[in-house]
Amino acid sequence: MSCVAPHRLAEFARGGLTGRGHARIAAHVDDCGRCRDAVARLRDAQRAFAAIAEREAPELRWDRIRAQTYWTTGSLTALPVARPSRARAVAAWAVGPLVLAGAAAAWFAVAGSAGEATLTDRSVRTAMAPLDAAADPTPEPVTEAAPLVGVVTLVEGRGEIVTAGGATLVGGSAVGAHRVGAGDRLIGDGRLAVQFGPNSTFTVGPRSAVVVARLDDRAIELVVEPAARVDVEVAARAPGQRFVVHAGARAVEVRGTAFRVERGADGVAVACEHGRVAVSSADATVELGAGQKLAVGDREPLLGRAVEPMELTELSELAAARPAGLPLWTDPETIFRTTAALPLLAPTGHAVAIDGVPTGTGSLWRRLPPGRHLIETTDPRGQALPGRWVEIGGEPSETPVVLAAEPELTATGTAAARRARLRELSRAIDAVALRGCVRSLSKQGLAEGTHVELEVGVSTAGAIRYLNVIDTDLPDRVTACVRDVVGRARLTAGAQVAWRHTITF
Amino acid sequence: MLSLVAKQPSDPARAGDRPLSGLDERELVRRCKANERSAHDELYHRFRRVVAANLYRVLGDRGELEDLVQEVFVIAFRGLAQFRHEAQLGTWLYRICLNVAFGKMRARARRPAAIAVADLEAALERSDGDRPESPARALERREDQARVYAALEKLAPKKRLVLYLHEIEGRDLKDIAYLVDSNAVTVRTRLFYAKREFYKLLAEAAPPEVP
Repeated sequence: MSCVAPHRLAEFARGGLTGRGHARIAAHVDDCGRCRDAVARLRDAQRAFAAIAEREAPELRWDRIRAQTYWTTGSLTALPVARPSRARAVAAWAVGPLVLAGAAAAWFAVAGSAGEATLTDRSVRTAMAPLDAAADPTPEPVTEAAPLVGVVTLVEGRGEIVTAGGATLVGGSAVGAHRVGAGDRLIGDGRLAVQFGPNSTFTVGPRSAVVVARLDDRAIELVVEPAARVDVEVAARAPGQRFVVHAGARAVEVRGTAFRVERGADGVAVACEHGRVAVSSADATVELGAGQKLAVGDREPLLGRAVEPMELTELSELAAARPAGLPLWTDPETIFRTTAALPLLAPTGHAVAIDGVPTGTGSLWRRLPPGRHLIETTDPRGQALPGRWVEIGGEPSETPVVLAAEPELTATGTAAARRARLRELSRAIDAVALRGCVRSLSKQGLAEGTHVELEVGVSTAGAIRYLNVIDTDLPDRVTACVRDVVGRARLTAGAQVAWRHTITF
Repeated sequence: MLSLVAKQPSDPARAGDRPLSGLDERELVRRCKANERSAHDELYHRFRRVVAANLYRVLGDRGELEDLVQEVFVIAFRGLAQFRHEAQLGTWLYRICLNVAFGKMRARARRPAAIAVADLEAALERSDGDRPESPARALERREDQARVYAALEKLAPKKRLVLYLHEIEGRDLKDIAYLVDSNAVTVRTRLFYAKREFYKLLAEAAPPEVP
């Protein structure tokens, strides 16, 4: 009898065969050493099945996962958007064709009389429609536009607002308490974010200034000053409401999208993360889709200017810079009443994450829902420092939360203490297990001369508080094994020290 | 109603602290659909460990486990409006877990990753208190599990999923068909080829490279 197929041997090993089938394979296995070995291996594996099925979940950062989940799904809990009634919908159906016919007539009249450059690109022509609406001679409705209020949600560094009334507000607390409206000039030291609706936020970039030219239910218009940047995320606007960013001679108009407008010394750069935006000037309009960018000099014509695809790194950077809004939005007054301010003091360059969401760097002021929040920082090298929980209430707080300037464990110990700890660690490491990590490499003669450089931090209680792999020329799996073996070493109480150590094989 | 009982209890230690801990599943889902934050909290607390354990067992390591747990709950909260109680909530969540794990496996297939031996060790360390065993036996068990996951890793994701559900979790074809959103005949065929491949790998497997 030839050798049995492994899946049949597995059935046999499990005891799933009976009668003649079982007897035939049993007889073969008795005679065949290869199949006997295979059965032994399969039995071992089948025993492992039960252990795998019973594996428990490792302990995870449950609060962090929950916070991130809520941030991601936050828009679910926003108040429902009022939908037009059936009667209004019917009216829209009736009025729609009339408006379209009027618009078409106006288009042909303008195109015929002016004789300007003809745009053959359909998408470009489509994008012009809302912009041309601004030049529509139809008189505005007599009703007044209702002003909107912007809520400051993030101030990185020392933000500043020069209000329409001429007052100058400086610093997170003063800026954060201000109700942003038309005529305000916003100056970002780091970033300064303003939310004006659900999923609708704009962020003034670092060392940038933006004037809120208009903020009402008909239009939101921002004017980007020279050498300034603004990142915008805006949900679909109410019918008829425009959102325009003016940057010199160019205007960038959107309906629902996330994008960046950067005004340099002699030109404008626009990058669209998602949705569509239309960049216009007196001569033409160019439309950008998701992942596209456009750079045009102030003196260059926009007509015929080609958009370019963004690099992956640019897109990632744009996504990371997405404006920091609140997961919940009702109306500004409720937001002011029910949210709380959290001023944080952190050293320059230290990244800060709130509830697992990267929020900014250095000292910042953030508006948040009241409750417990997890604040995490990194050192300038990007290594995480221990996080801490902060409880904030509904009242504004003037007392900033001070975040650690350096890791809790630094090389605070004396050289003698570090040498003593190193000797102790060397003795405590399981040398057999360590050699086992590189056993397979040793068999191939590849282990000799390899190394793992570790950064080790030990507390006074003798616990290894952190263990970072700084450099290695070993495969990931072996490195993880080495780190694991070192991490299992048990030390006694003594000096709190941190040091770098290289293990060479 | 299809009912696949979750293999692990939820978080009983803190159940008393939660105001909605006594709520039955139907009412909990109703409140979640009404966007009650406390109901979302309760659902998260009730199923977070089950979800994490499911992903951990299927994938074999804890790399990116937190992100995957988060992904499962984001999908669940967004998809609750479509939940019609045709299966138990735990089963429905398990199906999402498998989908998320499947996506992860496909990503890994494009960029293979080593199995995290440390995770297996951590699992063994936890079980030491329940059943003391010799270091040699612990090493053997670790090697066996590493070998199983190494063989699973070599299967195509679809085959791996049905094989895991049938051979390791012991589920029948009908359950598997529901969980992987397929039909029993397809599952049976896929399982046949998966078993042939998997046991061939196991039978020929050299001792794993674990310390």
